[in-house]
Amino acid sequence: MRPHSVSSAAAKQAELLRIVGNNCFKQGHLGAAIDAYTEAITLCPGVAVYWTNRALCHRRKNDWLKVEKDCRRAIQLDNSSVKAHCTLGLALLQKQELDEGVNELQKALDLGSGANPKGYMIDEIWQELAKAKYLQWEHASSKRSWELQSLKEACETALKEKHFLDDSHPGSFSDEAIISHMKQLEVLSRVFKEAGEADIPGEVPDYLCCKITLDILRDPVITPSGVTYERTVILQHLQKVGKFDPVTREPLDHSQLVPNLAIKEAVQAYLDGHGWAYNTN
Amino acid sequence: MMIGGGRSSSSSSTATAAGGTWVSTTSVSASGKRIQREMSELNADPPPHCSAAPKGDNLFHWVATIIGPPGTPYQGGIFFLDITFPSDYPFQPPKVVFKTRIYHCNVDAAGNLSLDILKDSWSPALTISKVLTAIRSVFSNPGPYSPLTSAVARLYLADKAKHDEIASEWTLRFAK
Repeated sequence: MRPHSVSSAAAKQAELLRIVGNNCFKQGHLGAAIDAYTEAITLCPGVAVYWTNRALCHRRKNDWLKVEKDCRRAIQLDNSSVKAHCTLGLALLQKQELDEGVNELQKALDLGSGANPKGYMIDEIWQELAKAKYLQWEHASSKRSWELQSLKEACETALKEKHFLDDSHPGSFSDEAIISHMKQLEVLSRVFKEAGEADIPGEVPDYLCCKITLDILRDPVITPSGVTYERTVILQHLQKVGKFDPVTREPLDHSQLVPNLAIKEAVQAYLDGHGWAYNTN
Repeated sequence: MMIGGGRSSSSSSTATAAGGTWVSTTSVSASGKRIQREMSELNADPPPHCSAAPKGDNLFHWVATIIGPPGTPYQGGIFFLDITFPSDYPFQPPKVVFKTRIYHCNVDAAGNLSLDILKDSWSPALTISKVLTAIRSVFSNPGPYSPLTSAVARLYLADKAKHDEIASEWTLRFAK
C-alpha cells in the first residue's frame, strides 16, 4: 500500500509542478519553468509531457542540444506525441540534419492531422516541413543540374569528335553529314532540356489546388458536389460565410465533407517530383 | 520576453519560437497569400478587356480598369474602379467602387454598385477576375429592377434610346 500512496503523492506533486512550469513559461520565466519541469521529471520520469514541456523551454532559449535530448526521451515514453516529434524535427533541422528532421516533422504531421485536423499547430508544422523540403529540393536540384550540365557538355564534345573523325575519311565530307550532325546536337539539347524540366519552378496545376486558397492542397476534402477544398478553409467558409458549396452553391454541411485521398496522393506525387512547389511564398 | 496576451492558454504550453516561426499564421497572411495568387493568375491569364493590380505597396488595395463592351453606350470607355479587400478575404467580398462617373442604373453617384455577388451571393470561390467579368456583363445587361439610381432605371425601361444617348454622352465626357 505504502509505495502506491507515495507514488500517487509524487504524481500529484509533479502535476502541480507542471502547472507552475506552464505559468512560468507563459510569463516568459524560462529558467523557473525549466526548474519546475525538472523537479516534475525527477518525481515522475515516466511522463512524456514533462519532457516535451521542458524541451519547449530549451527551444525558446535556443538550446537545441537539450531540446533534442528531451524530445528523444519524450518519444521513448510516448511515440505518438505530436509535440515531441515536431520539436525534435526542428532541433534536427537546426543541426542541418535535413533528412531526419523532415522525417520527424512528417511523423508529427501524420500523427496530428490523422487524429484531429485542427489540432496542435498542424499548419505551423506543415510550414516548417515545407521549408525543410524546399531546402532539400534546392540542394538536390542544384546537384542534378550540375550533373546534367557536365554530362551534356561531355556528350556534345563526343559528338563533335565523332563528326570530325567521320569527316576525316576521304570523300565522306558532305552537307548531309553536317546537317545530321547539327540535328543530333539539336536533339541532344532538347533531351537535356526535358530532363531538367521538373526542376524549373512553375505553376502547380489547378486540379491540385484548393478552389478557395488557390494554393496546393494539404489536407483535401471533397464535397457531395465533387469539388475539393482545403479542410480547414472549407470549415472556415461554412462557419463564416454560409452552409453551401462555394463553387456550386449546393447546400453543404461539414458532416458531408470526406477526405479526398486520391488527390492527397496526387499532391504528394507531384511534390516528390517538383520540390519547388514546397515554396510557401 | 513576454508571450502575447492574446495567445491561447491551453493546459500544456504552446511555444512561440525565438525566430517567430511558431507565431500562428493569422488570417491576414492567409488572405494576403490568396491575393498574391490572384495577382499572379491575373498576370498570367487576364480576363478580356480588364486589368487589375495593387495600387502601391498595399496588397489589399487595388485599382482595376474595365473597357466598355462594344455594342453598348459604354463602348470604348475606360472605367476605373477601386478595389478594397477586407482582412478576412475571401470569406468577405471585396469592396468595389467606380472611380469613373458612369450613367448606369446599378451604379450610384458615389460610384457604389449593386451586384449580388459582391453582397449576399458572395462566395470565396469567386476571384477578382470573375468579379470584373461579372461587372463587365452588367454593362451589357443592366438590372433596372434592382437599381441604385431609380431615375436611370426608369428611363432605361421607358425610353432605352434616350437612356443610351445620355449614357454614351457620359462615356465620352468621363471615360475617354
